[in-house]
Amino acid sequence: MLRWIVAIAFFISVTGFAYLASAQGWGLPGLLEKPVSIRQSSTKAGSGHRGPMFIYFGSRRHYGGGFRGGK
Amino acid sequence: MLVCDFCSTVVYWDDETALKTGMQSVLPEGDSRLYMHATGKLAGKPYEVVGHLRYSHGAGTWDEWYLQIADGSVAWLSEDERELSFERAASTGDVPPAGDLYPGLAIAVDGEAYTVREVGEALCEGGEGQLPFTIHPGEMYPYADLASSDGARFATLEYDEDEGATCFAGQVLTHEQLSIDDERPPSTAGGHEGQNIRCPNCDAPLELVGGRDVETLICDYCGAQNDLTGAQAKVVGVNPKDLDPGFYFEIGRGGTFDGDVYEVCGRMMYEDDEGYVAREYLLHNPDAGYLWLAEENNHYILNRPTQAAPNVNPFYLAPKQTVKAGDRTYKFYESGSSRLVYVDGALPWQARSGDRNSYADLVAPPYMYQVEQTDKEVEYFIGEYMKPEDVFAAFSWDEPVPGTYGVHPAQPFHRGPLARTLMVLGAIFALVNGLMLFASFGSDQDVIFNKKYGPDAYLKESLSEPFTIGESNIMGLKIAAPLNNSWIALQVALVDSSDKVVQEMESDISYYHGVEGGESWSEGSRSSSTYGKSPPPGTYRLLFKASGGMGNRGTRARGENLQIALVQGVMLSRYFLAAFIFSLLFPVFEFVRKRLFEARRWAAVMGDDDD
Repeated sequence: MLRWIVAIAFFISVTGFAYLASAQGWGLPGLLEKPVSIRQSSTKAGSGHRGPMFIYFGSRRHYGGGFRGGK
Repeated sequence: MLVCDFCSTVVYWDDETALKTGMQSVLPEGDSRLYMHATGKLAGKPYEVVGHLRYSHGAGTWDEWYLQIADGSVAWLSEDERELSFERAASTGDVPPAGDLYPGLAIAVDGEAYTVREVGEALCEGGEGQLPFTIHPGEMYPYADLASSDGARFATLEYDEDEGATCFAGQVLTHEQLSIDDERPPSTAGGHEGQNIRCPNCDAPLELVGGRDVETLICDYCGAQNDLTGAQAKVVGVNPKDLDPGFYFEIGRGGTFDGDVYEVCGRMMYEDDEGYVAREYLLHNPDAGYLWLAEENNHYILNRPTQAAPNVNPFYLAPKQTVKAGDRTYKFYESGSSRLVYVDGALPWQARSGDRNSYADLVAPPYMYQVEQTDKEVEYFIGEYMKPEDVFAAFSWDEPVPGTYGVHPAQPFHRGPLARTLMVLGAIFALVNGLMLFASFGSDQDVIFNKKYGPDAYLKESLSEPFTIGESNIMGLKIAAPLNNSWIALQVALVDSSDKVVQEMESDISYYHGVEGGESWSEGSRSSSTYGKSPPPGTYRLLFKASGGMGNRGTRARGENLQIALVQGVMLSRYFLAAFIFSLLFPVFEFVRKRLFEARRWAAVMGDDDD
């Protein structure tokens, strides 16, 4: 009986962890620690090209090919 | 007919007179439960044994007992190796002649299906007491023993030159169905007990333990296999010299099985056509009879004889083909022939080195159904796998138990209690997490922003109209575009009411397709979803910028319209997927472990096919 109780508690813990992580979004990218003005450059942006209106994304580039879909 | 108890004179009555026909040899005492003038109850009715016949089939004897029942009726009981059967006359119908019968043949008698178990010539050794017909000691007649496939019924065909075939059908009696008021006096047991027998080969004294019939007695000194069925012991074979048969338990050693103490009274070593060796212990208990303990690679099977015949001929089957015998369905394992290499102890049948028989093994772990067949008879045994430690414990063995080799055909797959618990719970919780995974895909999501932009907007940094974000933990960015051998990569930033970026997200999509070698192909997707933490509730705008191309470096964006959406109320699926896979590991591991075990079980007869 004790074996069953321990094993059930183990699997409930696993499922509970999965539920909490799914609901809370554990592991997802968080908010910026310091909000940045859209007139400034993103901390990830490189130098070079400036947009016509904002400079936030600057010269950050993406090169297509793969995709990161899915949850 | 009546045989005088005192002078053994045979007297029979015709219609007019009582005639004295001559003297008859006194039947030697045999190893039987019944005896002359024994009383008890048969199926609840009092009886007395008033007549007795003994027949020999060449390799042993059996007894026929004539019972007077208290209600005036009579009954015949047949006894072979202390197994009693109730018989009645039955119609033979159109049975084949004696010469057409062979062991294993399926025939119908009196409308019932039977399998021929034994064929041979029976020799009437004599009788005693009252008998309802005239006997002729020394007379021989062909006979066949039959058994139904479920073992519940049996029949005997007896062939007479003048009267043709006669049939007796019946069923095996359990000890509960037949009770005996007084157990047989010990002094009358053992036909050879008390005789001063010496080995004809080396003249060493042969010790004969009483209480049972012995037809083969092996000399402890020279290994001569002595046939005791005649008036004098006769050497019929000798054990090979310098052969270590490798038995663990010596003759005379006691062991407890099913609560009864058995004694090792014989040991046999067999070798099959491929050189595999099997050992067998013959165990005897005066009340419970015989057991056969077979050993192969230190695996043990405790065998009991059974009347249950298989529903098909088991010698011409493919591995895993199913066979029904008794109330159990077995899978055919293998068949072949084996040779008796070594024997010692005292056996109730005739045995000598070189004796051959055909065998067929069928398994339903932990049970094993074995068929042993010669040209004269077929015997069936039901065995059950015993753990080596249980066998050695039964024999009170104090030394370390030797390890086993390989997997025995009847060895059950062992799953410990912890493994069983984890397997069951793992399957249950895999189902639970699988359902939650499924539910997370279809969870309700609140769309808080959804707008389509052209390339003029997204190829430069653009700012959306304000929108409201509510209370939520997770926010999803979904983008979609009618891509055609092209890609789009999008960067977005959530801008709060003070024009400060509080969250950044990225997402890209690509979709390529074509026709190659006459077959169309595609890869990638025209939509994508990305997730991140949701900012505090409030009014926000979306700053976004995308780039794109057509697959080759340096190409420009094709310029498809881009759908950008933000959603809330999301349940992530990845953690349920992880929990689902983790929970499923336990049943999958146990499943694979069992498959590998079964593959090892069948490898010897199925080669590489582990199915």
